[in-house]
Amino acid sequence: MTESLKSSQSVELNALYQEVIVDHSRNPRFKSKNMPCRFCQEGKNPLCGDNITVYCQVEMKEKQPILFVGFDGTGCSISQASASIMCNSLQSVTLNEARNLIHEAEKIYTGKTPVNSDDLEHDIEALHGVSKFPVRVKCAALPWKTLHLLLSDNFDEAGLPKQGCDKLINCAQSALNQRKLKIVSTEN
Amino acid sequence: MKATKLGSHIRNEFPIFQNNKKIEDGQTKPFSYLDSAVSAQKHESVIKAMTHHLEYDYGSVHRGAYGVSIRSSQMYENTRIKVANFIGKSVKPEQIVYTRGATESLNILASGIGEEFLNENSRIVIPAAEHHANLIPWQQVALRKNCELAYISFEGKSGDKLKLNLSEAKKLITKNTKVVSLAHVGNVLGQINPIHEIIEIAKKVDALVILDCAQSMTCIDEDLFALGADAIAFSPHKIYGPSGIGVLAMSKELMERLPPFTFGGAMISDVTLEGSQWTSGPAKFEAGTPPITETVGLGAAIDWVAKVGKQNIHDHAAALASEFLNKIQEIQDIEVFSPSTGQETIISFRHKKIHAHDLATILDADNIAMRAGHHCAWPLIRFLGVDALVRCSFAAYSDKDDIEIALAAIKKASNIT
Repeated sequence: MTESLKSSQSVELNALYQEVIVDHSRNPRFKSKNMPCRFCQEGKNPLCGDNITVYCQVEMKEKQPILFVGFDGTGCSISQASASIMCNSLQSVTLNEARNLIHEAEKIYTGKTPVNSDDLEHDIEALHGVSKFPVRVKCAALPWKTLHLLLSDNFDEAGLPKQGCDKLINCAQSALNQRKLKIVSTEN
Repeated sequence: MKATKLGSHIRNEFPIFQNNKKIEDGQTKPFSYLDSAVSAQKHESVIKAMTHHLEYDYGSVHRGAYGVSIRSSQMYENTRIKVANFIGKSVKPEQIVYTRGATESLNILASGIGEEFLNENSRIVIPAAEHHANLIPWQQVALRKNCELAYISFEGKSGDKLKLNLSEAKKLITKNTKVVSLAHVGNVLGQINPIHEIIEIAKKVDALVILDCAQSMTCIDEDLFALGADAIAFSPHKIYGPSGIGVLAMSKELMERLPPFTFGGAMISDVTLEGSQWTSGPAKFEAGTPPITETVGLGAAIDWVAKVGKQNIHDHAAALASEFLNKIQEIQDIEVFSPSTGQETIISFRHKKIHAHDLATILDADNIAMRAGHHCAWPLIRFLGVDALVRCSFAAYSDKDDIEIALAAIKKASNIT
């Protein structure tokens, strides 16, 4: 018998589904369809089917962008709770604050930052439970990686928002360029 | 419910179960492997045959004039004979191609049939509920050839009402239909598709019939080529054999007409700088060094399944699946999607309050392996109106304890999330 199989997984399971995670998954914060936003980005875990859309509203304050992040999507309790925790932590923040938190979150859900699970200071620390479940790390990571992509795509090197979302135009063009399947049905 | 015919000794012949017991708080939790539909565990005879081959007989096939190569070549071809016998009396060894898996087998068929049989006036017909491996290759061929693609839908959304819509199939399989491809047994819901009826409809318009037998090879004993199938695909790793090898069996006519899928060594009769000519028979589709030890493992797996009996394995797995289905339906918040004819060996369900991935993780803590997700069938999952399902599948080594352990863990799960 391998040593790893002897470890008490129920303790790890409780750390994964601790109260903060269950609460955020049952009552997600800043989750809404068609949230007003300046930018949006879709993210998927193709192997498990989880999907998320991250929205980002931008207000300019003293020539610096201030971000308000929201989301919508479907998936397991870990991906939904992770998205809720992310959005809850990213209201009225600077671009740098958002980027730092993405970095911090990654260190927590991959287990690189030690966390005392009996004394959580911030909700984001509850994501550390996932680090013991390698196949579930991608669930926790999905919203953060999606936000990272949104920020990389839509803010320039000076940290200022680009003119607007050009995804609609690009999406329309790429759809036009794609050959369409001739799908027939009994109603044709 | 039918009595299970297989003895408990069978489980002991699969070493994985001995090596994956979990000790927690002084309690031993047996390994409840309920995901055989994704890949079955390996019988000890398969492991021994492969190890022995690697230790005593390994050599490349059809390339060496020396002992190990000659012995490996004989074993490689000997398994081809076993595979033919395993599929049915109307199949000859020269109709069997080794591939990398059922997925590659279906890609070889779709691509080759596209080149040889399809033009912009042709039609391909497949069920909308297919595994991606029997759906995407046809979509891609339809795009390349600019031909029609028609999907047969399901009647009903769950339970006994859920079956392939045959009246729609009759309307969709028109005179311009050149190929109909479908799973013998559905990989998500475990339904047994009405292949007799589909073959009859397809043959009236001279369409080719392809059967994806990935889920049916150990459980349904039927001579599919005698029924009228033109090609079948399956994966040895689902019949207690090794991964990394697949089987494609096709009619002699198809074998002659289809172009090769992969080019390289061993598949040519002549090569000049101006061009190349292909060899005939299975070798045309077996470019490069093929899986070798895997064919030895496949031969051992077929021997074992034949010894136990396909029908016995099916009856055993179906009786357990049926018992599981009846009991799980009594658990609060559980919704079962698989039909309940008593013949299924796969049961898919969801918990209305716990996402499939969370449930799978919770089950793993009790040493239970079940698959969660979209099961490589997104169109079907969308049709069912869910975002993921949990799938519980039974095999020769499954037993009643697996059922009780799984049911207890599912009941307990509501307290965790």
